[in-house]
Amino acid sequence: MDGWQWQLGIAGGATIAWALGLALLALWVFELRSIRGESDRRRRATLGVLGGLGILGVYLLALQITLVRETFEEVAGGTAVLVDSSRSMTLSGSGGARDDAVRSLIGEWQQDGRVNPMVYLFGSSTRGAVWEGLAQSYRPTDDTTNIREALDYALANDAGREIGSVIVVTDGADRRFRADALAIGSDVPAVHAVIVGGDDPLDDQAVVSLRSDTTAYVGVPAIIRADLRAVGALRDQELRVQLWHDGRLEQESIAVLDEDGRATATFEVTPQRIGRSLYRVVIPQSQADEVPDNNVRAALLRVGRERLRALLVAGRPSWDVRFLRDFLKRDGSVDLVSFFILRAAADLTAAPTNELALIPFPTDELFREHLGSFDVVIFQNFDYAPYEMATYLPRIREYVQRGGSFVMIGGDRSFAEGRYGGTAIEQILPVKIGDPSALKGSFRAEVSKGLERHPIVALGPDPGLTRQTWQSLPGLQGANRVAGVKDGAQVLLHHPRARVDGRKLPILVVGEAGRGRAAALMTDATWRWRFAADDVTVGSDEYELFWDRMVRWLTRDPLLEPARISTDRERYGMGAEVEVSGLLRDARYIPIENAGVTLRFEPSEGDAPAAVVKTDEDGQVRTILPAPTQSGAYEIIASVEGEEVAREVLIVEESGDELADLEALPSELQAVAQRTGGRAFLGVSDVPPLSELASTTRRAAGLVSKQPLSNPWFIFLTIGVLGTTWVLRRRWGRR
Amino acid sequence: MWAMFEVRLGRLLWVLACLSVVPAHRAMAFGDATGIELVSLDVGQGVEQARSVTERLAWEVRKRSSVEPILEPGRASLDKASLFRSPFLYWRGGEEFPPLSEDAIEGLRKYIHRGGFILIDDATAGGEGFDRAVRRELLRAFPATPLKPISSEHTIYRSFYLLNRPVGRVEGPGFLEGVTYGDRIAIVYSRHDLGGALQRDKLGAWSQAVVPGGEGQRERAIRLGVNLVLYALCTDYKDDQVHAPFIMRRRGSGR
Repeated sequence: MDGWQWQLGIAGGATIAWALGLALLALWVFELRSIRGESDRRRRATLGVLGGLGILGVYLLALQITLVRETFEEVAGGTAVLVDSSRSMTLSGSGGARDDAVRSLIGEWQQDGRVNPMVYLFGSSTRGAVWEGLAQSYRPTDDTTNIREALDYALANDAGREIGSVIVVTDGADRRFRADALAIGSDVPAVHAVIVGGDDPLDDQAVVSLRSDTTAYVGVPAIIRADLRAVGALRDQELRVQLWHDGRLEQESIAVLDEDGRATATFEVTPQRIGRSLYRVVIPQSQADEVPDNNVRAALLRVGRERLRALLVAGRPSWDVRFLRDFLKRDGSVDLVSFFILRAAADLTAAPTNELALIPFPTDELFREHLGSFDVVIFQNFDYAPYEMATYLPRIREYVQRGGSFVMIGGDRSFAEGRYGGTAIEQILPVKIGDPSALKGSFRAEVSKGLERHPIVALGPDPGLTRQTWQSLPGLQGANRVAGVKDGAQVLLHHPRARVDGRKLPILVVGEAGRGRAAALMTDATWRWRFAADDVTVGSDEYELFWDRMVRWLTRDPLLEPARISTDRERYGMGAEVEVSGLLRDARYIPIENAGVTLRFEPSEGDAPAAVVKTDEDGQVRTILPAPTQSGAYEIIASVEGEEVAREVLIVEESGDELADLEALPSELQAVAQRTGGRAFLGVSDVPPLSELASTTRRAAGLVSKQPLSNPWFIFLTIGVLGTTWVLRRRWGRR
Repeated sequence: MWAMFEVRLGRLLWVLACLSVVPAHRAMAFGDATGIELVSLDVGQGVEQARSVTERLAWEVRKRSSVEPILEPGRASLDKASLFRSPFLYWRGGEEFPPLSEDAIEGLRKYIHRGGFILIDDATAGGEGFDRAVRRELLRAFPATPLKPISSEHTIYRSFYLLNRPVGRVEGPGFLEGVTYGDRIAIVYSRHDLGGALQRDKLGAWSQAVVPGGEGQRERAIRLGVNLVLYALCTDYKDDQVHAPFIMRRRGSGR
C-alpha cells in the first residue's frame, strides 16, 4: 500500500461516519443482548459473530472507502554539452589525436537517441552548435581556451530548458581556470568533466611567452625575456633555448627549470637599424617532444631612435631662432643639433680668429655624412648661397624623399629672398617660390576652412574653438610672399587679406615629398605667441603646442596620423581571429564616413582582400579577420578607394598562446565535478553513454484511485452474512 | 659623432674664411616688431643715457656679427604692455630709486617668465645707491633666486668673443652677477659701467675715459656687450658639444 491514501465517500464525511458507526455498534450490542438467552454457546457465538460481520459489512459499504495514490514518471531533463574547440584539441599523444577522440565520443553519444542536449563550442568565444552532425563538423581552431566563460555562458543561456547537468569535454589546458573561482550554488546542476587526453599527458617543451618592450632604440640594449615550460617526460631533460635574428643564431643558453617545470631565459639585444626587427626564441626540437609547434615564438621590436634628432640651421640669431631653439632644447624627446651663422662677410669683428668663439660651419659633415641621422631638418631664415651649399641641396631633397622631413621658416633670407627658387629645395617644398616679394605689416593668421582638425593648427577641441584661438593669438609681422601652392599641399594658415594667384596668401603650407614630409612657414614671428603681454595674447601654450605638433607631424608620429588601425593583440596563432579596429580620417583629418575599407595582409596569401568593411559615421572601423595560415610577421593594410590609409603590424605563430602552455589541470575540473555531484573522466575510454550522464526529471503523471469494497462480491458477501444470520435466528427460534 | 669634426677639420668650410668673398647680405627685415631691439628700461631716471648706450651697442653688434639690431631702439616701462616689445631690456642707473610699484614687480616677473632678458648696468661703477635699490627690487621680484656671481666659465664669456672677465668703463669686480631662471641667466647685473665704455658724443668721440686699461679695456667692454646680446639671443648655444673642441683649443692657445 506504499503511497496509497484512503478517503471516505460517505455524505457528511467523518462525522456521519462516526455517528453511523456508533449506531451500528449499538445495534450489534442490542443483537448480542437479544441472544443472551440462547443456552447453546456455539449457537450464541455463531449468531453474535455473524451479526457483527453483517453490521460491519453494511458499515463498510456505507462508508464508501476510496484508496488514492499519486503517480510520477521519469523524463529526460536539460543537458548541456560544452565541447572545447581550441587548437590544443588537435594535438596528439600516444593514444592518437584528441579531436579524433572527441568525434568518436560524440558519435557514440549520438547513437543514444534518448538525449537531445544543448551543445556549445567554446574557445575564443562560446557559441551554440547543432548536435546533429557535430561528430562530422567538429574542427577545433580557436586560439584560446576559457572554461569558466563557457560554463557561465551555458548556465546563463538554458534556452528555457532547466539545465540538469553540464558535460564539459576538454583537454583542460586552461591555466587560468580554477574551481574555486567558479560560483557554485546549491542549485548548480551536476558538472561532468571529460578530460580528453587526461589519461595520456603530453611530453612537451614550449616557449610559453615572450616579454619585451615593443619599442626599442638603435644602439640601446633591449631585453627579451622568454618564459619556458616543460611537461611530461621532458620535464627532466635539459632545456636549451636559442635566440635567432635575421636568420642567424645570435645567442644560446641552458634554462634551469624550477619544480613546476618553468624557467625564464633572458636575452639582451642591441638593435642596429631603424624599423621592425624580428627576433625568434627557439627551443631545438627533441625527438620526444610531442608538440614541436610551440618551440618557437617571435618578438617584434619597433626600433626607432631614443630621441628625435633635429637639425636647426639659422641664418643669423633672432628672437624667432632663440625661442624655437629654447623650446626644442627643453623637449626631452628631441636631440637638437643647431647651427647659427653668427658672423657674415661684411661683419668686422675687430678680433683675430683665436679671440672668437666661432666655429666652422661643418656643411660636409652635416649634409653629406650625417644628414640621414636626422629626423627633421629646419632651415630658419637661412640662405644657402654664401656657404657654398648648392651641392648639398639635392642631398636634402633626396633625404626628404626617402622619408626625412624638412621645414623652412620665413624671414628675409628664406624662400625667394634666400634664392631657393629653382633649387632642389623648391622641389620638396609644398609651395612655389617665385620672385622675392616680402609682405610687410601686422596680421593675424587664419586657419583654412575645412582644415581646422589638422593637428598642427588644431589648437582647440573643435573647429570653432580652434578658429577662435587663432583669432586671439598675437599678430604676426611680415611674410614671405610665395608664388603659389603645389598640388596636393595643404594651406593650413593663410593671410586674412593679402592674396596670391587669386587665393589668400598662404602662411603655413604642408605637404608630402616622396616618402617624406615638408612644411613651409612664411613668417619669422611665431615667437610672438610665446612672448607677449597678457592683454594681447592667450599665451605661450599655443606656441609650444604648435611647434610640438609641427615636429611630430613632420616626423610621422603615429598619434598624429589621420588614419590608424590596430589589432587586439600583437601575436596570433595561425588562422586565429584577429580583431581589427581603427579610426580613418582623410588628409584633412575629417572622419571618412560610411566608406568601404579594404583590409589585406602583407605578405598576402592570395589576391582577394582579407575583408571589405564599412566605416561608421565617426570614421570608426571594426571587424574580425582570420589570421594568415603561415607563420611570420605581417602587416594589415587598410585602403580606401584603392589608396592605402593605414597599416599595422602583427605576428602569426605556429603555436600562438593556445599551444604555448599545454599543462592540463584535471584536478580543477575534478574538483568542480565533485562539488556539483558530477563525475570526472580522465580520457574518453570510460565515459558512459550520454543518457547516463544526462539528467532526468520526475514529474507527476496523475492520480490513481480504487474502491476495494464497492465490488459486487463484497455486497453479496455482506447480504449473504446478513441472510444466513436471519435464517439461523429463525431456525434456532429467534426473531 | 661630433668628434669627427676635429679629424676632418681640413675639409670643413670655414665661414670666417670663405665669407670674405661672399657678397654682403643685408636684406630688410619684415618689420621692427620682429627685429632685435635693445630696449632701454625707463624707471624714471637716466633713460636717455641708456638709449644712447643701446644705440651704440646695437651699432657695434650689427657691425661685428650677423645679428641686425634696430639702430634706433626704443624704451619701455615695467608696468606697461610696451615692456613686451622686445625680450631684451637694458636698465642703466646711477642713483637710488624708490621701491617699484607692485604692478612693476609683477611686470618684471612676467617678463622674465616669458623669456625676457635684462642687462642691468650700474653707471656709478661702485656707488651704493643704485646698487642697493637694484638688489632690493630684484629680491622682491625673485626672492627664491637671488643675484649670484656668474662663473668665468659661463657661456656669456664665449657667446661670440672669448673673454676672461668682465670690464666696462672701470675694471670693477672680476665677475658679473646674475639671476638664473630655469636653465638660463635671465638677468645680468654689471657693476662696471659697461655703457660708459660705449657712449660717444655727438661728434662720434668716446664720451668717457676707460680706466685703468684705456682703449684695450674699452674694446673688451664692447666685446662683453656684444657677448651679452648674443647670449640673450642664443642662450647656451655655445655650450653645444660641437663647439667645445674649438673653444678649448683656442682657450688653450694662450688667449
